[in-house]
Amino acid sequence: MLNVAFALTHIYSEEQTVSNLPGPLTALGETFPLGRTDITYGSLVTIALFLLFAYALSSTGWGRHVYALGNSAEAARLNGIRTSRLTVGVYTVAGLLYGVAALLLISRTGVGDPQAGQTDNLDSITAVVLGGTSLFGGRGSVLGTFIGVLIVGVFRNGLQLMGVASIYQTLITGVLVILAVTVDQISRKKAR
Amino acid sequence: MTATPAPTPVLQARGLVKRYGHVTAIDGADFDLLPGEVLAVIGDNGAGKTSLIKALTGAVVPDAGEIRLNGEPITFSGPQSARAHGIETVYQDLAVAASMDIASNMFLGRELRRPGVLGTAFRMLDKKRMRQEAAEHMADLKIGLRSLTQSVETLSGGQRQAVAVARAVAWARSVVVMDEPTAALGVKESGQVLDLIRRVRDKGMPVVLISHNMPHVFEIADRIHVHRLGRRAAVIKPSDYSMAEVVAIMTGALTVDAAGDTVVADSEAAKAAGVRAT
Repeated sequence: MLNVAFALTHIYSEEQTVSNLPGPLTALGETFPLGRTDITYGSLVTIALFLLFAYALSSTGWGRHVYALGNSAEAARLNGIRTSRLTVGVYTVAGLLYGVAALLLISRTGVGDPQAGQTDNLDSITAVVLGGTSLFGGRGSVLGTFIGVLIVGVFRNGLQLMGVASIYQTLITGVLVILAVTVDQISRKKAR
Repeated sequence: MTATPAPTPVLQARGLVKRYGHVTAIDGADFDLLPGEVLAVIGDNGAGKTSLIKALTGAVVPDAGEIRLNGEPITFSGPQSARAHGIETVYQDLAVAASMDIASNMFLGRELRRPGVLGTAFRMLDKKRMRQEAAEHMADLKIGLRSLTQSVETLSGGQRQAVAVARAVAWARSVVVMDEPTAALGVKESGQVLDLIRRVRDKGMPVVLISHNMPHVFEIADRIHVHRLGRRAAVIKPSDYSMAEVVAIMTGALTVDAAGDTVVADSEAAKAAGVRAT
């Protein structure tokens, strides 16, 4: 699916960056002053989403069922959780979030670039695993992911400001992923 | 002279049949679970006891036959339907969410919500109440665990089994079915689980126990249902027969006649098993 979507964006945009986007699409890039700095509405949306999902995962039945599904789909099913429905629901929510992320990206840059966001895939996984989410499912928290996102974001931004070439950024981020997965494995072994 | 009426079986089946193509998994099986007893269901591999239990817990819909719960005829549309009627199962692999804590597992799929707006509009969980009630259920069965907030995967096999049993007992209203509860446990932990099963029975909840472990069956069961070739071969009291005889009934070397005496059905096998007719 990733390849399909990737190809479609390139075909549709004919490899051109789309500028002159209508106002509403980039509205999230508008800023408002807060103290001595300006905050984009996009950041507010991001924070709101983090808070919403932190709540949903930790304090609702739906959240518990998602964790149970991640732990063991069979165990979840035997306990009366409708696993197919839940899985579709989770993927639907994820799809919605991808849409919001795309909006946030074009609001930040002001243009629709088919090349944009290519490394964000890897960065997301890095952030999520650094934040304590297990690649095997069933473990993790939104707060952890938030911290992971900050780590990766600051890393990327810092390397960018230092003028490090994009390919080295990818290399360093890749090493971070390996580190994160290794720590995840070790901590799981210790937990037993 | 008045005879005391026989107690109504809590769970009863007559003439159950289930076929899968050419294979007849349940071949006119009967089943009776009396109130307040531990009934062990034993049978060789392929005897059809799993299919029987599945039919009784709603996982399989029989092609023919009747099931009665507390005397009332009943059909289960699925496992959830059986649960709704108060029949809870402790599966062999326990069906627990490993990284979640004990209280969360006790209420898995049946979580409690806060009263009022918080519960309805915000769907907020009442974690404190769930933890309290989980603690009560565990204490009720005298299961000693220091902390309810530890994740289930940090528990030993026997403790995990205890949590699964406590969960079933907490929700069951009529029957608790346990599938090979001591299969993965060592001697000491098996003993603890058997004690737990005794406590469940003493609380008034009948237990159906599926097991391959003859010593455990003889230690805990009030009656033994021997399943063979898709039907009930015999239902006997462990005090009336030796372990070797019961195994022989299971394999078909002996059969039980109406008077409860054993009859040699297969003399070679009986001789090999070291049993003889009574």
